Amino acid sequence: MNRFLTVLAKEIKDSARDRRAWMAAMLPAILGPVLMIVLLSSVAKTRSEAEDLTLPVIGKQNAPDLIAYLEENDVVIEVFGGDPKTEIQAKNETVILSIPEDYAEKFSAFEPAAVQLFTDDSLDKSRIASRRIQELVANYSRSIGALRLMVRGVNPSVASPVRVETRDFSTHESRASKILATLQMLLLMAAFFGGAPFAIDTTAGERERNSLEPLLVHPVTSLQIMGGKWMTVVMYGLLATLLVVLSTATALKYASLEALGVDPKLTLAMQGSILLHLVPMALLASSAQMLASLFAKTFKEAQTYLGMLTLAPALPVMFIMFRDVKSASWMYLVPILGQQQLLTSVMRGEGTNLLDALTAASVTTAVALGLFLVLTRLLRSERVVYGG
Amino acid sequence: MIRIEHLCKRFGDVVAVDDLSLEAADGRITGLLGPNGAGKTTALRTLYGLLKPDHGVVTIDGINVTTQLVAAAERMGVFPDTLGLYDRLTTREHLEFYGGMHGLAGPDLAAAIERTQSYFHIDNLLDRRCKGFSHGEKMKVALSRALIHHPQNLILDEPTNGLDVMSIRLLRGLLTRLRDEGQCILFSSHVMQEVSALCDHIYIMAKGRLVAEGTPDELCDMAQTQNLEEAFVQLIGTDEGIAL
Repeated sequence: MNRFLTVLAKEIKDSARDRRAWMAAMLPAILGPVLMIVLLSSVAKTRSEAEDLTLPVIGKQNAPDLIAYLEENDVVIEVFGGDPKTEIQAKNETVILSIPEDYAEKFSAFEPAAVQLFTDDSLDKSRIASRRIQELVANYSRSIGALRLMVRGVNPSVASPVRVETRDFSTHESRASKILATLQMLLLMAAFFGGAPFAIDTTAGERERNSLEPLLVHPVTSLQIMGGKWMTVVMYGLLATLLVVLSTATALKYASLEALGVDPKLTLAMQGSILLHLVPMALLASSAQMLASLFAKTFKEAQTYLGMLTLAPALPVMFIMFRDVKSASWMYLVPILGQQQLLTSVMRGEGTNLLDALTAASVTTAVALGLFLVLTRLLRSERVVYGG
Repeated sequence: MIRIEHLCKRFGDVVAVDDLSLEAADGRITGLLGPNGAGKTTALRTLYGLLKPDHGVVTIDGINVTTQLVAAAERMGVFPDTLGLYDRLTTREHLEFYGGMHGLAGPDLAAAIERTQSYFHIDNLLDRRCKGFSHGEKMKVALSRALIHHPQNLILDEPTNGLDVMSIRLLRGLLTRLRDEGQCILFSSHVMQEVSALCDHIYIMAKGRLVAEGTPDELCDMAQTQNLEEAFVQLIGTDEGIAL
């Protein structure tokens, strides 16, 4: 026990002085969530800008009634004289509406009167704006159509045999969690990028600076050495996780995402619960990363391995997000996926089932400890101490 | 007391050590002399337990190194062929850490550091971080590391490589003193002068095998030459890979 503490104390002292590792680990933990939320806010801003839309129109005088309808619906109309294609491609305008001269003529003759909408649907802003204009024009068209039928003594509902009534059952929180899925990824990865530089330094770093051999000639068991190293890496993983949680909560507090239809906030209780559910992730990250970098002869080589490994926690989240898989209880039996499920529940404000939480925690912890035992076995293998 | 009995160690097809037996007694300085690549480092690495013998038994004070590594490690001080210091720790922190590894703590540890630092006069290095130390300075810290717990058995792999003349003199004086106190010292070298100046008993290795053993005088007799240098060349059959 004493020797374990001696190793632990030395590892902490040594790593605490490693400024480069601190920067590499903790900077993304603090800035990552902030950047991501700033990004989401800017998407939200784009949405709300689209709401008070300015629409350049060619041939405004050809359809005063349609223009009036658009203006009634908060669209600011602007007379436009240039070439629509160039202006849109130069991104000077998002959408342009053109009303041809024969509009009034066709309208009066009860023929379909065409209007042209120029847009670049590859741009979010344009797509949102054009969808809005299309909707408004379609509404206008429908109401004129209804009036025309009424004038002819036909009930307008004859012309709409089927009507879709959409009822959105998603609650405020559950819509928010779609956005939080992105943040989940960061939370799940926190222990991985937080522990990585330290996992490398205590294993591949030890090999690179040739300090493993002198260390192992001392009367100390592999369990004591690996235990000290492992705990150190776990500690940094937890620290990074804590920072990501705090940074996420703080950024969400000041961000306004209402325009996305959601405004997720993390209460203090939620933050604590998230942190608790992520403890096994720190254990797993420490074991997996140390195992990968124990086989690397140099720092650089280890960085390559860990770069790939850091993506591991993103996989279950992507799986859930893109395949839109329904939650099932077997998911708690899969490391990382279980934690992801727990985070989802917490972030939706649903709270977690104690049994699920314990299942997920024990599975991930068991895998972490299993890998740790492999680590202690390998530490004194000739391949690790002297091998290439 | 260090014993190697019929040690064999191969790496793939390469036989690094072939049926090596040697004994280093307490109160004696035993030298393991051989050209580069003779298998000295492999033999020593087996001795301090980081390589497993393919065949043979290695013991420290009667304790089998392979099966009771921790107990054996308590009884030895090792200067391996790599220095392996931590750049971000000071010399004192190194000595504290390795002293702690040997179970030293509190006033015992402080006394051990005080004693050890006097061996190579490293008091000016004690509170400096090791980053930027010269090779010689690093060697002195590594040698102090091996001596921190006042080990009964001292195993040194090429301890003078890159050490300045003054420090070599200090090391010689220290080893002689420790020998006189009854400690068992085994060191390897490919430097003739080191061995002839220090050793009570010499084992000569070449190509993984033991070629000859004896006191310096016995070796000279064996090769029927006047000095050890000639004897050495004669015995291993070449002067390749040795420094005279």
